[in-house]
Amino acid sequence: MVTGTGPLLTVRDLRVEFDVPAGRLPAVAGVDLTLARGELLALVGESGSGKSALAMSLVGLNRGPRVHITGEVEFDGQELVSAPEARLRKVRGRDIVVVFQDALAALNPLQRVGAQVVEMIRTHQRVTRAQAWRRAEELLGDVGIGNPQRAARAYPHQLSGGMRQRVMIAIGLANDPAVLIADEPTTALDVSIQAQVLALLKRLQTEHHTSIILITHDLGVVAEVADRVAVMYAGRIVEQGTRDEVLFSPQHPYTMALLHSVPRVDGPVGDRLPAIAGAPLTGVRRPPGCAFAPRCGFAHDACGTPPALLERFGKPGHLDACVLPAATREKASAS
Amino acid sequence: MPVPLVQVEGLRVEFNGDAGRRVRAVRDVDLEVYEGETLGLVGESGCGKSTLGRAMLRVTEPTAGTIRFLGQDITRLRGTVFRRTRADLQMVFQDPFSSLNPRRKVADIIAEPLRRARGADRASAARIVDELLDLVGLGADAGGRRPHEFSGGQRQRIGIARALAPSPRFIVADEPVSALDVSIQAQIINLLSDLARDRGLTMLFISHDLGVVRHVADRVAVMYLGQIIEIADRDSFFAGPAHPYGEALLSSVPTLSRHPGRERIELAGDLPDPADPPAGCLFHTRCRYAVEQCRTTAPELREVQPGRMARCHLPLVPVQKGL
Repeated sequence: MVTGTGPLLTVRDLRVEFDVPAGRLPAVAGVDLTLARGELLALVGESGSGKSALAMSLVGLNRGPRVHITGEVEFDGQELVSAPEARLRKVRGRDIVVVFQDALAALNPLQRVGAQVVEMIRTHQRVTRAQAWRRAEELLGDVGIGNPQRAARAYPHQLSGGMRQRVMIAIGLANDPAVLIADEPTTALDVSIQAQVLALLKRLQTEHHTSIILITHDLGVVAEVADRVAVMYAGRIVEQGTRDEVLFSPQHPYTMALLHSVPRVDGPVGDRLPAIAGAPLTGVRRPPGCAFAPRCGFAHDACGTPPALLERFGKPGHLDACVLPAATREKASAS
Repeated sequence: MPVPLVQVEGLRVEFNGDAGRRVRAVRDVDLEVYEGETLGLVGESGCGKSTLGRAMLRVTEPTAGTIRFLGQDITRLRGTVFRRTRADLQMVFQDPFSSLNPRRKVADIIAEPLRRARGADRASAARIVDELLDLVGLGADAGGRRPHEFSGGQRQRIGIARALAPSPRFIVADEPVSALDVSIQAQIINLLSDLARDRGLTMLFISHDLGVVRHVADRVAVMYLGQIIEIADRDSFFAGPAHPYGEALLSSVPTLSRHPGRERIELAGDLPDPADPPAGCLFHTRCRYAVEQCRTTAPELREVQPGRMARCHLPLVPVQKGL
């Protein structure tokens, strides 16, 4: 049971580096983040921005000989980065669970869906097999599966993609976790199914008070469900604030450009979409200053020094990592 | 009156499914693609949109029906004649990596269709390849490198250059930006729009992403369970679909608006088994407006307003009489 009032999860200067043939790849290059109780935080970024590496390192899922994780992750009074694997295993699946994008790969193809939920329940709770099976059926019903008794007896391949994703969430919820980390949970799904899964996440947050970190590249999804948003670029958070602040009064030129480049189904449709020239940095070598500067239309000399993620315009909690003055940013926002 | 470049009639594609059942992936589709337009083809996974696109180029052979290109039926063409016609009909794929031979240099990948289909000699092929690499924004020196040296967006530019090499009249682009990040996606969408306009290309743009389609298509066709259920010009469709499925699909797209005031129409149940489709209207099992007639009688795809077709007994737009 998790108690207390402050943030549920506090991340300090988290770094994740992978050994690759060319050297050390800084996937996460110093991230500070908090997750409040009962909030839905969206972690937004493009491929290679480090959002998945960040999420996995929160519970040590990517630990390994070629992975270097440093910094602090404080959860309910425990520090997790330095925690031994045995202790982390207790936290994973019980307190903090991660639900991945590809439900088919994450489920055991040879085991009935119900048995996989049962296994998760019995790993962390002392209940009989029969009790656990009844609970599994309840969970499958909770996540919106129409006939949970039948789904429990099915094998993963007998279910649709949307059903499998719901099974993954049911497994995640088996032990009523305090934190659910959902990594692109709807990316492989059609929009009609996506809407159902997002509604489910929102319901978990409001009814079960589950704190959720939703990792996504889809800004429309963020607008639908997030309370707070952190935008990642090249391993760092470049902007952070409430949904309204980040999406509707963005301060960082990258956030602005990203929002402009979304092809929307509403609003005006012009001749061309405002694209961001170039491509994100993905290699082992990073410039010392702002990683977005090479693609930023407003970069100048000051962008060559490392920008800190700070509250710059007097709005508590709305942080950004850009050294440009307000007037320049207004220009960026209008362009 | 716009001129159809490609006319599809009664096109049917069947596969052998589980337990010897025939699965009809494309159900007797009639479709016209006008000269110079980009027609967006949308629908959810399994609706048959990719199969239809491939069948229109005979990448997948249709089971029945005709495909006319500039009036000529290409379904029965064979050998050299077909190869020459095929040069006019090219495809851009979703996954730029798996569709490019990793062992070959980019210049050779692009030159291949040019030499094979158009019989270009080495020197003129090399010149055209340089021009194409420039056109898609890669620069001629990209020709000497291999596909793995490029990022996803750059590889899609290579795929586009290859499709353009034989100077085709018609391109089927199958989810060409779905694997790309949003900032890169916008670059490729702009490139395709520019090329379509500058080179007078006619394009079938297949995508599950309605936002992307809105930014590239002149008209939109919606598929459900192998059938076209609506065709409309872009602005009419996005202002309000005529078919209840189109309406539900559009309402499900998450939007970047501060106050998402729209009603979300939930599609009840799952997609029916394509090997065992429901009687009557194929959509009636999930349609919130369905009446008795929908359960018994299959609606035809009919013109409900000038230039606007819907396969529905009760379309959501006023039906104009005397069409």
